[in-house]
Amino acid sequence: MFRYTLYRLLQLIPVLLMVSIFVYFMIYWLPGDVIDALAGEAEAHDPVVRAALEKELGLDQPLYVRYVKWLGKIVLHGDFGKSITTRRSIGVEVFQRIPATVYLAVVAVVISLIIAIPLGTIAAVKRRTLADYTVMVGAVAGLSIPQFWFAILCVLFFALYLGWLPPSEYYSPFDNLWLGLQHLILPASALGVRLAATTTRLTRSAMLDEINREYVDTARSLGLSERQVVFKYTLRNALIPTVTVAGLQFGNLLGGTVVIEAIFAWPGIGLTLYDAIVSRDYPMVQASVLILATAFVLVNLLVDLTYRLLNPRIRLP
Amino acid sequence: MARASVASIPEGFDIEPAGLAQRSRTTQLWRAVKNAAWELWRNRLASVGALMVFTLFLVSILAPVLATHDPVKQNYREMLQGPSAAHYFGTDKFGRDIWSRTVWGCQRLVTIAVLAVLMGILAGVPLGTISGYYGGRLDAVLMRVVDAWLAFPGILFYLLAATFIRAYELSLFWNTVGLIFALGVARTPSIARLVRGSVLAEREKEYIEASHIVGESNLYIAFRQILPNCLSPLIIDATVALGVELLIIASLSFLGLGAPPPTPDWGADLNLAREHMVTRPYLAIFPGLAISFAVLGFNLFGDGLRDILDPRIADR
Repeated sequence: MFRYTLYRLLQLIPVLLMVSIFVYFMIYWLPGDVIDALAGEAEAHDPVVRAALEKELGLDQPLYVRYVKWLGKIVLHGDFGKSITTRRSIGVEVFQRIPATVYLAVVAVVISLIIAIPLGTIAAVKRRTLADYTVMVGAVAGLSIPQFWFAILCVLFFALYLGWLPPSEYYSPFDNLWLGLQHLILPASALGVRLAATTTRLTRSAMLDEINREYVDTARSLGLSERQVVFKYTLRNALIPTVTVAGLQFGNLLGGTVVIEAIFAWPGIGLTLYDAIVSRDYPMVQASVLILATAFVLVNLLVDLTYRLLNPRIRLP
Repeated sequence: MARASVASIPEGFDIEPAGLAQRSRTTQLWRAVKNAAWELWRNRLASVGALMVFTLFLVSILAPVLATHDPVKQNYREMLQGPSAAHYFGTDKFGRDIWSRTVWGCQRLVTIAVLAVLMGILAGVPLGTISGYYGGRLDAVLMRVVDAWLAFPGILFYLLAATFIRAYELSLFWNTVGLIFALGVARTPSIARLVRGSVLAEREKEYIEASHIVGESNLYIAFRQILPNCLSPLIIDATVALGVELLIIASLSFLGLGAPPPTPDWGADLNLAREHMVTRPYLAIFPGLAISFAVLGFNLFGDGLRDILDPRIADR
């Protein structure tokens, strides 16, 4: 296991390098001149000022040198440069926003599991009954309804029509727990319901796999009740793939919350990225994409390693 | 040449090999189609899905006929009207007819989704087939590339592509081409991996060994003998992928990162509808229903195809 972990960690290096090169050059190829943006109207045409600025920003150096310097600063000092619009350090700005996104993503995944595990189990145990078909059709519908539409309808119904919940904004749960929770319910459910659609289908098919195993017959023949068989044996085994996928979903949500964060004005990293794209703050786009992609890769690795730990049968290289 | 050698055989006794093969292949194909249609009919959800997908394609093709108004023409005398005989789905804040916009939007979204998945298939299938068939070091290298490709989260890739397209202020046509390209590039690695898996399993079968002994070329075996037997998972995957692409396109245009404004697009219309959510909720209902209908159709059809083409899991 240790050797495997080490091997996978080493494998990450070329992947992350490729991601960084991709992000750097994609942004590099964008039109528009940094110097034009930084220098004022009059100064932009003054060759002396331009040369001085080029020197200051290191633009007179060849491209690969600039890439290596850029990456070096990030890796060694955590320095992502400065935002064009706010002039603040990007690193500080982005890392401040991460907790809000992680908070939203964790709650969304928990909501999805609370919905999916019971529904998937019921569908599998009562296979080919009305309950099963209802759950399955609900799951396909959940997969098909666009998240942002569902979110809008929720806001329309629960916030504007019934007035039970606030339509948008964010309050930290550490400042005001009650307000924080109120503002959390709609965005987290909008994300969670969609995730639940996938997890329900998965739980059901994993349960069906387990129910047909021989140990289940053994357990039944020993006189265990159906309830005991399901909860003590099959569900526990069936949960391994479900929880694994929930972990992968969490990884996907880092960055996958952009739409929901934009709708609910949720100040996470997704909204930061979105604002940066709209205001053409390219260094900010560069940095947030790089950070999110790295987080995604790391979470996936972590999930994969946990899965292997839980499921010794596949512990092969 | 074959004809010359059988010239002495009496008429009505046609043993021309090419002709025979031809006819039996058509019969085979016809039988397969009939069989598929029958299976589809028996599977209720799949037939509903097939019907929905058929409707989508029909609406896309007939968009010029079905649309009652110009989808981008503004008419301030008729802005924000409710559904009526003149405007089936009502009008938006610029007085544009929502029904016509929905119909034209259908054409736009379905076309983009189909082309994007097609591009993913055209790039991914050869990659996967070659990787799976030749195996060894080539396979190892190609699969590492695919891994890295998949490690980059799709949504970030689309957002970067949108940034790129916006920065260049491309015309609608090139904007759409860029979007198709981005979706296709992101679709490629998963298709390559899927095909590789099936090819890997198929490669070990006996008929492949027989082909090797007969002396068929590697490319012939890989693409004409193995690949046709690996199509079922690909067809299922591509069908479901069409729905996923639709959702992505709609999400991007909902964020205002899709096509430039007057273009009819379900996501953009939904975004516009948010301003009038309280007073005119129907503005948000129809485009949303359209997206859900389309994606549901592809999902149901894909699920049904899975039951039909992969009988092992049909029992689930």
